[in-house]
Amino acid sequence: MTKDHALTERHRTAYLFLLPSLILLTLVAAWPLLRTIWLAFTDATLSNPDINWVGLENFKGVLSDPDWWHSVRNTLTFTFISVGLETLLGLGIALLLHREFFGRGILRAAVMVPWAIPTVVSAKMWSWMFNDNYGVINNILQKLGVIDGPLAWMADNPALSMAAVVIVDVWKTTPFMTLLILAGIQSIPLQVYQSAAVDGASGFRTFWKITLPLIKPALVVAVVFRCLDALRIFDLIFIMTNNSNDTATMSVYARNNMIAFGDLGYGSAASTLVFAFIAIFTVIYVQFSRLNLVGGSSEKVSL
Amino acid sequence: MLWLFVIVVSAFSLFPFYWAIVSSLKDPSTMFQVEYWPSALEWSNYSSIFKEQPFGKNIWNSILVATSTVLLCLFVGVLAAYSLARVEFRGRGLLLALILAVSMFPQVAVLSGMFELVKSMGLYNSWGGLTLSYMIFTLPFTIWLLTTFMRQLPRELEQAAIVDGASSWTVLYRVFLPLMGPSLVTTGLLSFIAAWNEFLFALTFTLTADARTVPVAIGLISGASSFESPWGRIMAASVIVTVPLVVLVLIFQKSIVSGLTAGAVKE
Amino acid sequence: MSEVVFENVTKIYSGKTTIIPKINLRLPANELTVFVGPSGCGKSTLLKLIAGLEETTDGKITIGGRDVTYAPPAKRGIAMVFQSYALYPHMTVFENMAFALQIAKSSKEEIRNRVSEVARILQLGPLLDRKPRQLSGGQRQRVAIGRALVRNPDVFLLDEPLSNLDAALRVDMRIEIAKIRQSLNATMVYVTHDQVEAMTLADNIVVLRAGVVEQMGPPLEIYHKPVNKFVAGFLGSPSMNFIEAKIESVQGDIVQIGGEGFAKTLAAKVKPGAFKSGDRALLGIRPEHLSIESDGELQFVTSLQEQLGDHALIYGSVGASKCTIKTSPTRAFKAGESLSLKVQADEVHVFDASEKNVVVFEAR
Repeated sequence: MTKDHALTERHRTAYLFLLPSLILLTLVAAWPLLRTIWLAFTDATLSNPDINWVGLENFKGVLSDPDWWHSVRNTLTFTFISVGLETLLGLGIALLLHREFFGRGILRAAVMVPWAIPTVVSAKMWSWMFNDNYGVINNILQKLGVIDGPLAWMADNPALSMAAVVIVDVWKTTPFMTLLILAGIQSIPLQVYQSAAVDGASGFRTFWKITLPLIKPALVVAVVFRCLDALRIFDLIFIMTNNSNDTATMSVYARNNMIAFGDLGYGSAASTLVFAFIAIFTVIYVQFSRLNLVGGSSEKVSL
Repeated sequence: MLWLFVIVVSAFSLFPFYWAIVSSLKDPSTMFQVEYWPSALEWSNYSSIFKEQPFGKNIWNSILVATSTVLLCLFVGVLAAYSLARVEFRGRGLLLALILAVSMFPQVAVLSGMFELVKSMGLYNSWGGLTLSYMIFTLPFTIWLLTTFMRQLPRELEQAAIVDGASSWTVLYRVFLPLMGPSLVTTGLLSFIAAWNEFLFALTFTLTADARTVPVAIGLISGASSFESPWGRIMAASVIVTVPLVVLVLIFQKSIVSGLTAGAVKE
Repeated sequence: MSEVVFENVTKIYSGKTTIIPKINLRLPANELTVFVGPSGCGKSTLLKLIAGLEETTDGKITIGGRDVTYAPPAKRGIAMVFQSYALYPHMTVFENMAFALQIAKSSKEEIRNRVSEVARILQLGPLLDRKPRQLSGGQRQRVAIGRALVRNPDVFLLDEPLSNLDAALRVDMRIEIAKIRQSLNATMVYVTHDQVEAMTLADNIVVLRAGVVEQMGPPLEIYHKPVNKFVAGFLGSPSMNFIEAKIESVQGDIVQIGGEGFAKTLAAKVKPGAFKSGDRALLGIRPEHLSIESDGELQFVTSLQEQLGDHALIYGSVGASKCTIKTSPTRAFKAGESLSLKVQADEVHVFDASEKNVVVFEAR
């Protein structure tokens, strides 16, 4: 048995074990991504197999289309408002769930239900609730005297449509936020709170000076994950606002051009821009947080 | 005060689901009256979605796609996770970063490439195409989670097995896998839910009503005219696909939470 | 006859952290060698190099004359008991012990015979169907030993096997290991940071520091003839006193040691040329080799006293150096009392500027 043999034995197995995953990921991630980027420089359409290189034409087209910039604005508005609300609500509910009280388990289960429901289904459920003539929301608001007549949530008024979409997203993903933040809160040792109490810190002060700084890492991760999700939002908007330009996001814009209008090249250019957008966001995040990729203590050398 | 908050949060969380159930139990004549309590139990919406469209087939497609996704993912992911968690090799950190990066891909960014891939492999309009394409979002987090879980297994356990003469394969399937039951359940469950709920690929890579999965079927239910959505049927279908998920979530609450947080908080 | 030999063995982690610089070591066949040293000294690494769980960077390791440097662990004729026991939690005691034999494709009958024989020796018979979580700490420890014995190893490796047990159980298991050691015809290598285990179990002790062998020898030799200050301070509890001193005069190889806290000078025979008059030196003397007697060599100032029933420890100082005395039970002293200490002449150690022990032991 030579040194090289012993060296590679375990490594060879490791590469062998990695191979299926790498092949699959190359097939379904790397290749389609590169292909999409390549298509973005062509005049490919769904129906026409003849593909010609058109250089930056598609990108010029997308970037000079007011509808694209509208979708960018929509995406950012949606991301900013919904992630903001989810963070605040998630923090509140997590603090609540952290306390011991009767029925905590039930509440925890209740907030998880929206998370598990398929987005399409939640979109449909809420569309029905937001229905202008027969929807329960208008009915409740009228009974409470908040509004005089029924609101047309899904038509005409872009702000109302956006509000509706944001409400559904908040409803659906606040549980995710809550769980991540709760995990962060629960990892704070009880002694820290006890010593704060001994030091005479008020509840508010304890939260501000102890809880918040200590859960910041968990909070940041949760917010980033949610932002990445919100920036690529598709199905909720696609179903709820029925392709209306008023609420179309970048993903909706890209898919519509690609599939509905059959303009594969142009749609791919928009897709590529979405990818670049999210990639830049991710890179910035990774730069600012030191993600521990190789893993903690197991790497320590034991003597 | 606390109780008020609990009630408001619970009501906000559960009301839409409740409302879908109530609406699904109405007949077309009372459908358009707002009633907070069902006046009669009318099951016609439930029977009609199976009659007027291949909803049974859609459910079967969803089960097939989600189950095959989970099985493929776990099998492939466990192997990769062993290498990533247990073997030190050059480029391991980079590889993990790349895998994590894939999970952040916007689906739309691979849509046209994936569309061609699925078509060229003859998998367009079939569940196989969906299973394959779902790997892009289920495989990265499966690998990521299983790697995290596998790192937590004691190092000495593996060393003991190696001294006992076990190969990497034996260590994996005779020592590690029996200990990873809960982790596999958690990971599998998350993949299942992700695959069960997916919409964009399923919408784009299927053509006929027979090949659709449940979310697409529900998304595309329409009435005689575009102004009259058959809300009763839509709600009935929604309830049917949601109930199993709600049951799963209630049973596996703990492991789902551990999976979601292990992926994110465990830095 | 499985002697374990390290020839110029080097271990470097990830190309930069040197754990073992270059070691040459011969562990006698059928004897029990204990590796001791502070954490980080490389003792566990050496064990894992023998086991093949760590890869040797350079050099050669042989077991019974066979080069095993790059052999896989299972092919080295070794068995190992881990600090955490590392029992397979999902397997019964029987399955744990049979695992290696199953992998080696032994026949069912052979496995049953071998496991029950070892189970009989270790009194594990009634536990064979239990899972590890149903066992007490001591029982788990015995299963871990049993799992290793089943493999009939040439070399038996133990990595801090008792450190997870509570104090009382540790004594029991120590005695049990000593018994197994007598009945076992194998070379044993034992890693510990516990000097009582080292002193009681070892045929040979290897004292390590930063991957370097400081001294190797039988326990009493290490105790009585430490080669340097590190070894002298490492073994023995409470540890040896080191008193700052000065060489007052040199006559041949006899030096007179004095200094602050000395009532009179102390004579010692050292290696020729070790000191010249006026050099600084370090006097080493164990707490049990000091006695409170009038007209002693050292002037001791008390600060604290611990009564332990069968003996007493008195802490204080000689000059600027801290000093501890171990005596038979005695009257209570007040803090700050001044006592005269007599030094047992044949237990004196003298360390030079490089901390080497320069006392001539042959004179004793």
